[in-house]
Amino acid sequence: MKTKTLLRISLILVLASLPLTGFAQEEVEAPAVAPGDPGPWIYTFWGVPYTVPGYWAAEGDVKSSVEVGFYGTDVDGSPDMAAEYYDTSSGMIGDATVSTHQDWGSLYFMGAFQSADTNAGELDFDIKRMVRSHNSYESFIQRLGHDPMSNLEATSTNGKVVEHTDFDPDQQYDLTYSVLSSRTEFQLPSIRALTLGVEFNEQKREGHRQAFTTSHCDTCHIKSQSHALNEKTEDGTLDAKVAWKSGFVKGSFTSRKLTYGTNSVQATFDDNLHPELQLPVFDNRMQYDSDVGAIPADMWPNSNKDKTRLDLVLNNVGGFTVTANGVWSTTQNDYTGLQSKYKGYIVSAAKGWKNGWRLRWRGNVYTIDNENVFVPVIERPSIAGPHAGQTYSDVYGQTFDFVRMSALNRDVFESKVDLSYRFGRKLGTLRFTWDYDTIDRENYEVLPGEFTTTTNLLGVSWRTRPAKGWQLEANLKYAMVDNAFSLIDGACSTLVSGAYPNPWNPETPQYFDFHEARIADTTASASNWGRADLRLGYSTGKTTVFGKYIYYDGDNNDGNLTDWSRSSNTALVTVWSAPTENFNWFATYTFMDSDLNIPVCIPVFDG
Amino acid sequence: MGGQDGYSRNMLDYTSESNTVMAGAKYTKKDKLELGMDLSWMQAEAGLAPFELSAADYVATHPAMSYDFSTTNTNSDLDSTRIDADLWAKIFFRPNFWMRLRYHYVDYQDDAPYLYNTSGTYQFTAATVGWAF
Repeated sequence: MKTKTLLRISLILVLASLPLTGFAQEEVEAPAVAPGDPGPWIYTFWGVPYTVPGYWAAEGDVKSSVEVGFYGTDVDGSPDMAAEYYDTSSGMIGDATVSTHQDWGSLYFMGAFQSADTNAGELDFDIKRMVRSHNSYESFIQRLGHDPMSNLEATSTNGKVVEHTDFDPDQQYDLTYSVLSSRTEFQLPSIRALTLGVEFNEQKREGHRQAFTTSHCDTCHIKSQSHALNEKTEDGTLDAKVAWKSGFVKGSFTSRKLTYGTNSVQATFDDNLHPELQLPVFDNRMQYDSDVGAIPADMWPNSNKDKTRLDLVLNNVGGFTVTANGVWSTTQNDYTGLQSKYKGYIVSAAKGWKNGWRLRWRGNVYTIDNENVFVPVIERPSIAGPHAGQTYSDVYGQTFDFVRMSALNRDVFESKVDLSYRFGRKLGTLRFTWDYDTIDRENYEVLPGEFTTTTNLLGVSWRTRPAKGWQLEANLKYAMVDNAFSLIDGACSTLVSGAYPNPWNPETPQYFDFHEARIADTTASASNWGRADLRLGYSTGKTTVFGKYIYYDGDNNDGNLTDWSRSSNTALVTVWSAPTENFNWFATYTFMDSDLNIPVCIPVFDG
Repeated sequence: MGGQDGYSRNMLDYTSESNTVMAGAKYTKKDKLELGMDLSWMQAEAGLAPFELSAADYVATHPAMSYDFSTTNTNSDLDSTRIDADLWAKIFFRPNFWMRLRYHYVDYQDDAPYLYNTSGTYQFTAATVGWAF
């Protein structure tokens, strides 16, 4: 066996043994390979023994490289933003590749290692076009920072309104993110029309996050603690595609599982006390108290999702290219058993005529159906004061149990149509667009008596090459939204209650009185908006200059006291040049500004 | 003991602005030398205009309020600058044998800390040798 071949095999084995993954699975004995056989190539990142192909088969066109060395880092001050995604360790660094193209197919193998947190790998192979596989892995860190909660002191520092406690003040919050993607396709020569695919994707986030819990009676007391994270999302997909000369049909099934390998944190509520009197007279206004002890908080439930998808493409239906697809999915929360269902269908058609006209249309309908949730409010009796022995509903005759109905439940229709005409090279192409969509919500009222948001977005664009080297594009869009998303009576409580001797006085207004007196409809969505952009480019072949400007202006005054508006400007200029074969350079400047106007409304209390 | 006396309402004005300059150059002499440089400077600031929520009708008939919104708007201030410089060289001793040098510098300045001061610099230096066969 030649020295280079031995080196290549060693290289592959070293790459495969690098601590690239933490997902080694049960080892599978590889079949013996007769000398000269072209495989099989077996992916090793999962810990499966590697089977070397007949080395002489790889002697034709083989390229390999290895690069090793050292790296060092230095941090001054906080690494949280300067090195948000970077390792701050030092040590060895290296990468290696092996690639070959033979009669039997091709192979590409790459491994790059910096540290246990930062590394990458890739394996692609193709065996006589019958088996095609792309597999990659990458991991890096992310620093999340540590919120000292001092911003809670924005309006008050006396501890009566808000206070905060950090149980893990020295904890560094960060995580290691890794993603593994694998797709292999099988296509037999005897059935070329059929392609079978197998996919596996895995994303992991491991580390610690900052968990916040709230206790709100004596004061608003925010508590922080470390919450270990070991999150894993796994997707497995099987798909089959049958293609013919003028189209294809493809079906796929994906099963996803999201799991958290760590427990919830524990939280203990404060003792329910009157802020001034420091007596336990408000227990019937709270669901929890310190006497309940530690309870699970910051809970992350596991979930699973099954998705079925069908795609159909027909390249010529009366001269139109037609596509259609359907998606059906069910997502289940494993803790509560609650389900969310989605059904969606898309149809598109496009045709271009020789006289310069072109028409495209895309229609989409989908529904989201989430299950209702009954929320039984815990009613505690007061242990002291005028309401001792009575629950809140005993006193005020109201129960606060409720059925939560999802605001996401909806039937949606979306239509996008564009019609264009090409005048010629210099006069360019003129395009008109009309996007229409309606969101019909089952439960959520966006304005009084209105559950449906309807949007009409009209656009016109012109693209041309007025002279040699020049490109110009101008786009105008204007949207009209009927019943844009808003929160009815979300702010500005008009209640004027007068003065009462104490909170237990039967005449003293209660929280539900404050809320019922709110009159302002709040939003963060425009009911009218316009957008204009202009793009200009010039190229000499060796040098290209490109500029772009975008203006946006939107507002919403549809509701009572809504008064929302936003505008922005974005500009970009970039120059790229390659004055010689050996040298190229670029420079870019980008500017952006925005102005948001929105009302704020607070209730005014005396005492 | 008092109760609620209506509401106080103001319009908030939140503005933001960012400027970014990026530049890069690359020189290649086949199988001899490769030099590269990427530089960027990003500056962004945002802020909320002062607001009072003075509840004028209420204050006219009551003692001064115990809350103070005079500096609340500053909690939304953002003002940061980031400089990123990446320099690298690949020096070929032979077409299939080379040395690669890389230096990466990041300077992040947080001039209006939001949660805490996140200012800091990061430097990365690496030297490797490579062989193709």
